[in-house]
Amino acid sequence: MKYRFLLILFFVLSLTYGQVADLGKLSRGKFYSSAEIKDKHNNTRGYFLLYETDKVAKETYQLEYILLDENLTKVTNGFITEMKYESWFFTAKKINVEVVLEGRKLLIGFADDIAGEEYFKRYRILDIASNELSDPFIYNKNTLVKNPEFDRKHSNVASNQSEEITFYNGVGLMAHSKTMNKKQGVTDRRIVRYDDELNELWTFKYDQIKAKKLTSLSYLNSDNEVIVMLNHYLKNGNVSKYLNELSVTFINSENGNLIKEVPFPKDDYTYRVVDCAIKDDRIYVMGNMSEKTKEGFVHDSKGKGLYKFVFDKETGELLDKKYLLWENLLNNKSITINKNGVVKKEGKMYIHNMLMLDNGKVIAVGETFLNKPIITNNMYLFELAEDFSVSQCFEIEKFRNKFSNTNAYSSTIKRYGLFDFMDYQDLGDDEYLFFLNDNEKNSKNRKKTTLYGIISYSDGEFKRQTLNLKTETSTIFATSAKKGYMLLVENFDEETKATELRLEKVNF
Amino acid sequence: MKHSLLLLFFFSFFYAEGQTSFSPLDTLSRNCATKLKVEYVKKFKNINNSREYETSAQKNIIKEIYGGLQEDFIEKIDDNNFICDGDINGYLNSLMNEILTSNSIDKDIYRILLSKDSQVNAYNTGDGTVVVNYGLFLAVDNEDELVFVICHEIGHQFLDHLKKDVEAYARLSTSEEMIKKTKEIKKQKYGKASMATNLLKNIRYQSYSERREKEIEADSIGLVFYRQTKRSPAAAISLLQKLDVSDTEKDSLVVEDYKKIFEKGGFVVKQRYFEQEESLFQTYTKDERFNTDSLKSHPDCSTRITLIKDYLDNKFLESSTASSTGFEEIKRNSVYQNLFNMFSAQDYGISLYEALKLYKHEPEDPVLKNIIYLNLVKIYDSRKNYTINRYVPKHDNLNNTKSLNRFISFISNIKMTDLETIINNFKS
Repeated sequence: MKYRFLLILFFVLSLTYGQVADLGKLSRGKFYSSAEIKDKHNNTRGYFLLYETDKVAKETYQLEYILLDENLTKVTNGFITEMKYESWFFTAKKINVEVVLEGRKLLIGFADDIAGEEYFKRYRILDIASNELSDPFIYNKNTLVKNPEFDRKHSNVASNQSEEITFYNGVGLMAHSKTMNKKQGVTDRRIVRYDDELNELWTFKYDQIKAKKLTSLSYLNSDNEVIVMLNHYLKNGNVSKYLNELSVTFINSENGNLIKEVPFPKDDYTYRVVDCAIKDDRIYVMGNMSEKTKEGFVHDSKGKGLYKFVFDKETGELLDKKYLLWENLLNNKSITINKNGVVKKEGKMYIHNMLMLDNGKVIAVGETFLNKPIITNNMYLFELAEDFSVSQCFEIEKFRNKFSNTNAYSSTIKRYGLFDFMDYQDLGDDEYLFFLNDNEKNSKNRKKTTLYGIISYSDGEFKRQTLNLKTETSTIFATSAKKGYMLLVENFDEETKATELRLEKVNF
Repeated sequence: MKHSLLLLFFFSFFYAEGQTSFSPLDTLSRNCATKLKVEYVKKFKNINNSREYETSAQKNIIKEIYGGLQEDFIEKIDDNNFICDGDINGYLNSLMNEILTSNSIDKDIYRILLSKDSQVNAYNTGDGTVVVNYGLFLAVDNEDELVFVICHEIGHQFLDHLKKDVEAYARLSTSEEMIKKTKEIKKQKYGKASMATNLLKNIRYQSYSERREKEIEADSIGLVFYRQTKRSPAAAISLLQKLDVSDTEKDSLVVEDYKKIFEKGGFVVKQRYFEQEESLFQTYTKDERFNTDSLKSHPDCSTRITLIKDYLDNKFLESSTASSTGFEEIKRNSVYQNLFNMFSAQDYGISLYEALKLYKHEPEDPVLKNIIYLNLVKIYDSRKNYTINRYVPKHDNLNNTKSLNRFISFISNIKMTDLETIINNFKS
């Protein structure tokens, strides 16, 4: 307990009156955006916030960033100067941030938000050990440019923004260039690894502008030995079209050499990858599959089941394939599902996550839904044994959300955050927490209780509890927080009462 | 009301059974708050009606400031922040009267109140009221030190520090120079906020610098008043020496203490209850915008001690005047009463933490055992309702001690069924 031992005057000059109050208004910052700092186990480790503090020149602003730790204690703050697009027609109202953590480095992506779309992407790295923020850098035309000269000219948009830069787990800073432009002399796609000083370590080139079939690589997982990428082939031409051809590409993290490319089985299915785990000398690629489609995207109404492919980490050889077909669950007592993965009276099954446990089991997180109109229904947690048979199916009844006059594929429903599943936390030792929203979306009806579902998985057992946040004087939002905790944000109706942020330990 | 009476009963019950002679002050009754509110609403009305202003612009600002301060004070009364116990209030009044009489100061405007706040603190509200926090009784060792604190606060009132501060602020805010500067800043196309911030920063530094000077003035005149009481001058110095080290936690709880306290009736304290996820962050840096030294509202204690010693020409008695029996009784009860105050203010976490630190040395103490039980019950309920962070502080690697963070981990990580077991073990 820290006591403050003061003999004070009652009056504290708050500088909020008269002319000085005008100064206060002028000096006040404007909130832009924030991002949660998560580790590779999906646990929150801190928060990054960005504010505008001043306009210092045309389209140029002084910004303040604030770094909070997992307990919401301020770690550091600092000031940077950034440009933001403004014209008579469109204006970026704010600058968005996204953060990726690797070790003790935090990569921060900045982007102008123009009508909900992001432009002029650039990056900085915050060294968590020293709290020092780097100068900005971008990856553009196959070059990493440090401290680039920015402008916001229409004619120069392409030169003023970065291609994707991120941290790969256990590897470090990576740039992924997907743009090919003959006029600019950029004729291949590539993945480039950089060291802490932003020096290039290796380049993996994987596509040529003239290729008949293009590769579309997306990151799945990595460690200090291997990078696992998913490839979805496209037919090259005036309009690129996706093909029902997927493969897993393994790249050596140390030197960037291709280890192996393994095509997905040429069978009656189309595959979607949900999660990828690297454990010891094995790589597990897991997801769901549907009846075969032309462009290689799973069919929501014709789901066939779940799969797990096991690869040798060193060679990339496919060692094992396991399937769970929905038709094998027709007689399951815990779920009434048909062979197309449609649950009776609830709808199709969307798989949010497939989590690999240390004991070889997998937990698949599913939520039922309908496309037209969009309806989200109950959730299901499947515990899958090593042979991929269902050892447990845990149903979570929740509020049925209906969005009138809508029609969307599951991928779009997920992208726009319309599902009720919120997030999960990996507590270690094969213990997990799953959070879900159990409320009518956008409801302002105070008579309704505000409910959040928490499902714990501990000692191989699922348990559900409902967090009832009913209040007549405030509105409470819940979100996942540091390991084992939820962050409750309570906004009171009474204007003078400050918003209350509470970190509450989840009981289980 | 029913709840309040029950609570007092719980504490008082051990008065008969236990070794200590503790009976808590009634801090929960509304009667006192009702009377106090009537008194202060009337007082504020009279003060506001008799106040004079240089200009109408200043009048608006001054009225606004006092309005806010008075509203806050009435809110404290409504929240039952003040203790109305005949004996203890009578005792504090006698000390104030001693100071005022020995210095021939008109007693009419002065009033002393006791807040149940556990923070070691006292303040002057500028209308003649001196508020002493109950927590102060934990810090002072003798009556002389308490009298010096009151002298210091009377000093603020005597020198009209609050009034002068408010008027100076109103003058500054309505001055031609400030209006001109603000207009100039508003006219700027770019860099407006930085210019306004810099100007505000200077005003703030200046204001804090003046406040530090006022503290020294209050020490100085407080010492003059204090010497007239013929009490030992050593108290002024010993008090400030205590202030200097007051941020240091005097005791702590380690895992072994938890084992000693809670391992009863088959309950075993597990190491994982104390686990706290290691933070990514090890370095916390200061706000770049402000020089924190310039924002100190008080001068360093060492500076104040030197000034007082100089003033006393380094001639001061080492021993204190004998404290009255009234002081001794309050001091004896202050530890329990403070725990009770924190409990009634719903600071269950800190009340429990402080109680456990005492209980580890006095495992047979029935009052401590009881307050531990009551706090545990409240904490159990709040964990169940997901409101624990309202009543128990959160982990804070910058400001909390390791011991406090360990306690927070214990309270947060312990299984609810285990919490039930230890509650039962503490139930009498």
